[in-house]
Amino acid sequence: MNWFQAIHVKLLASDFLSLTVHNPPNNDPTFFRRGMQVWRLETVGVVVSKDRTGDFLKFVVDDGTGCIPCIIDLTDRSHLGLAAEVETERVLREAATVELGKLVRVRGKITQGEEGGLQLKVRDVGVEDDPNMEPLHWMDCIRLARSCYDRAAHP
Amino acid sequence: MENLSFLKLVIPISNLKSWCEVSWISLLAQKHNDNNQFGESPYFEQLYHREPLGNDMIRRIFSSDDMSFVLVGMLKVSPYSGRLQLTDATGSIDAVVPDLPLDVNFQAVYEVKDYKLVIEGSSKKIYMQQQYLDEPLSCRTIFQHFSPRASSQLVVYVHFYLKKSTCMHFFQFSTYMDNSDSLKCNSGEMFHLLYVTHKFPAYHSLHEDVSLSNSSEIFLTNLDKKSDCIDNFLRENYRSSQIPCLLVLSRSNSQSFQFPFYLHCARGFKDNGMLHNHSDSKILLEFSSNNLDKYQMLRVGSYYLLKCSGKGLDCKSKACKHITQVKPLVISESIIWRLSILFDEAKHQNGQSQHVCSCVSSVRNDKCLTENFCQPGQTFLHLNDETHGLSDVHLHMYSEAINQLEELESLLKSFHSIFPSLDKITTVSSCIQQMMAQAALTSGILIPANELPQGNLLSLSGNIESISIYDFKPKCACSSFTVCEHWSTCEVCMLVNDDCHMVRIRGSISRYAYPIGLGHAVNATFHKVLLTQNSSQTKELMLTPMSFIVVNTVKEICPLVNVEGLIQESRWNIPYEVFINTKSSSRLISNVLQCTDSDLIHLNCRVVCIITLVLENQTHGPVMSQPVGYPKITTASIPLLGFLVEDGSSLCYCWADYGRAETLLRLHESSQMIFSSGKIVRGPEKKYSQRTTEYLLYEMLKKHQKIIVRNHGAAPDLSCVDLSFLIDSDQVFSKAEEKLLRSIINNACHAPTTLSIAGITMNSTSAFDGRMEFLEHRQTLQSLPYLWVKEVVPIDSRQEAYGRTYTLSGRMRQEAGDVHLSI
Repeated sequence: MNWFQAIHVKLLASDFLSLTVHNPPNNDPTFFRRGMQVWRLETVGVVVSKDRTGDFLKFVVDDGTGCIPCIIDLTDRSHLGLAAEVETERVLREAATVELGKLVRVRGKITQGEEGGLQLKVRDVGVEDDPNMEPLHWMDCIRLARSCYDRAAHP
Repeated sequence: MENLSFLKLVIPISNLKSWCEVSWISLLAQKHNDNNQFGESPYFEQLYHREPLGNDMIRRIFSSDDMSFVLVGMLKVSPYSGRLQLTDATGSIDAVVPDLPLDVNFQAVYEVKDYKLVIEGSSKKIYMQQQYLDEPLSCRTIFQHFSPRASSQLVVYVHFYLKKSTCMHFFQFSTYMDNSDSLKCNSGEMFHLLYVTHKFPAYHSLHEDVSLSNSSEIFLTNLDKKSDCIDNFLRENYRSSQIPCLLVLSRSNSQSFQFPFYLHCARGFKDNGMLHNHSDSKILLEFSSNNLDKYQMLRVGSYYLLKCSGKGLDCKSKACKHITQVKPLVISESIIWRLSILFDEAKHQNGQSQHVCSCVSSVRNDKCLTENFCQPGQTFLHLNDETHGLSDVHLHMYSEAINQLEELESLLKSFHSIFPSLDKITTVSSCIQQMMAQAALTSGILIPANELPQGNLLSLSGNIESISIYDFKPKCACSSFTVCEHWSTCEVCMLVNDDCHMVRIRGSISRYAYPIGLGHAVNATFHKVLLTQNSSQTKELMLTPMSFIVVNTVKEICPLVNVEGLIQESRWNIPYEVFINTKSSSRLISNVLQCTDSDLIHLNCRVVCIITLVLENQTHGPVMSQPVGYPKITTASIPLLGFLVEDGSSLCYCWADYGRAETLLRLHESSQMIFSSGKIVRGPEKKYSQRTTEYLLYEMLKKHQKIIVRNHGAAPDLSCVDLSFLIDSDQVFSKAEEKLLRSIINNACHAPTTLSIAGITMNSTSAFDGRMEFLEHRQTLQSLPYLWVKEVVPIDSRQEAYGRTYTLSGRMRQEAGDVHLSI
């Protein structure tokens, strides 16, 4: 089993925005960083834009190297069972914490937006109270890129 | 050549303190079992100033037998702290001398060969120092390598007995003599017999007089020394308000002098053959600032003879200032002797006399309180030692004519009735019973916030579990009270326990009242603390300006030498710990597979999925988060939690239990979710309320006893939807209960907090000890590394940044060097 599908890679926004997109026919698009396929992403940055449209909350996170569009599905699925009810409640609670100017940590699945651009379908989002977490995230990105991702791409 | 082996090495006290610091570093290095981890980076020079709390403090007691030096100095009382110190021309060190007589000669120089050196400090302090302890200690090494330091983070004091020390006779000093002049008692002199029931703590200002309070007095009158009159006199006067006795003035190594005396209760009265003292026969003794030594050496619960300032037998005369003044002042010329009172019964049977001696002497021996305090083989020190013949004088109360045991008992009762008893010293468990009883009485009664605390004063003895010291006044630039020289008061908060219960004592304490040795893992007696009710109607104990603390016993605190011992077990709140492995901060999970079993691994990661959760109903002792005085309760506990973590490089399959599991599940975060009819409402700041997550879990487990939750959909998308619940009861598992558990698991899997985890790697089957059923269907996870979590704390971003910067700069230097070579 390829556990890398479940891992939220840590990439700088500039790295994320330069991912290579492959669009195989009849399949979901796939994303590659220098030859290494990635599925999920974790980022830390400041919310610079926020837009609530219907059952979706769209916001943009700026980590200092670029801006990553994020989207949260706020559809209420409580009628589908207890698990869905609990999930909905959590998502609503977390969405309420996303405010302009806040430093947030976002994890999600890499997808393509309506206009073909890259975006992050949010799995979870939380406010970071410690401002030092942002530069620490940059260091994590650098360390992982050097010691893990680059080697995975070119073993 | 003459044999000079009798010569001893004397270390100046300032250099001794320096030696203590270096020894401490060596001790920490040895304990942490990593001589290379300190490295050379200035970033790791010193980590965190914190007051020593129970969790990270070490106390070591070194015996003089293990030292190669002796101590030489004079005794003095520090004008800053009011403590007894051993001093020389270079510095001073706090000293505990249990057998110090009241009339000790402070001009004498003592050579102390038999002593115990106590060093206390935090195990988290790491210093960059070279070690010179391998070299033999010589004069050169003392002055070259152990030079005096400006400040110290350690608490250092020395414990020795004066009778085992040598007074050195120097020409220019007046010597300490066991002369009888200090114990002279002339005919016609009068003494007041005092019983010390309390000492008010001294305050920092040297201009304020300190007071000794609540003493009871009885006049002791000298009689004609003619012994032939004693027998008739005894028979006659025992039936009145006077008690016959023999005063023996002695020191351990000097002659003794005996004087027949009788005890006269000037304010007493007889009732049914028993003597009683008036309730108003209490005085305050005031000590001038230059007699702080006399004040320091008086002990609560001890008897003392104070030479009367008046003349003649009639002490009611105005000549006696001890009677006429409200607060008689003890001055340098005041003569005070510590007294032991012995009751002798001479039995004449078959021509042989047998003496039965009942001793009424000094304070209750606190050794009985410390019986269970120290473990067998554990090193400890009695700081409040009553067993070494500490009295200057002995008062033998006897009657040769008393042949009946009943008369002796009557005599004892008479004597006891004259003296007021000390406040009963309660145990922690008894105190909690009082608190709960009073809580029931005052339930619902609100105390206005602007009123002074009210309640009863009580005396309490117990073992200090932890102590926090903060808020120094005047404000200190540094946070350590050992370094700050000029603080006068501070706030303390202590947790005191016995075998069963724990209470919190908090309040303000002055520097003079802060006794030597007070800290974690000591047995202490707290005189006159206030049992009051705080604004949240919880009973608590408060230190007051009249509270007095006596340290009875201190014991060694040594952390375990292996790496597991560095990581503390905590029930509810995982304390913030600084990890020792600072050189490389943390590993990536992708590198964990390369580690061998039982390596300690540090990871910075986040929980992504809960695999297995076992909840159980357990009964245990009081825990930190419970309200003060809460007895043993049944709580929810987590004996096993299996979960996945990730750090961006890979996944790791981890296992944890109890306090660590609670932290990973975020059960104790400050804003608790209050569950109410399906709606989640963000609640107020965490309190022990009936709607917290812990309480709901507790209620659930009280009903079901044991619940096992398994996640069948963990792979590959890390979902927590497909959960199964196995309960160990016949009760119905309700929807609300299922929702609670799902919410807890869901919150844990989506926590934004990055955690710093320390654990040991293990193969897939080790360390499960009969819990193999939790691995039965985990084949999909077998390719992942397994980690048994030993400690979990929130990540420290600054420390991690230091580590990454150091590592990154090292690599960049290396790469730059490579580039240079290639050119």
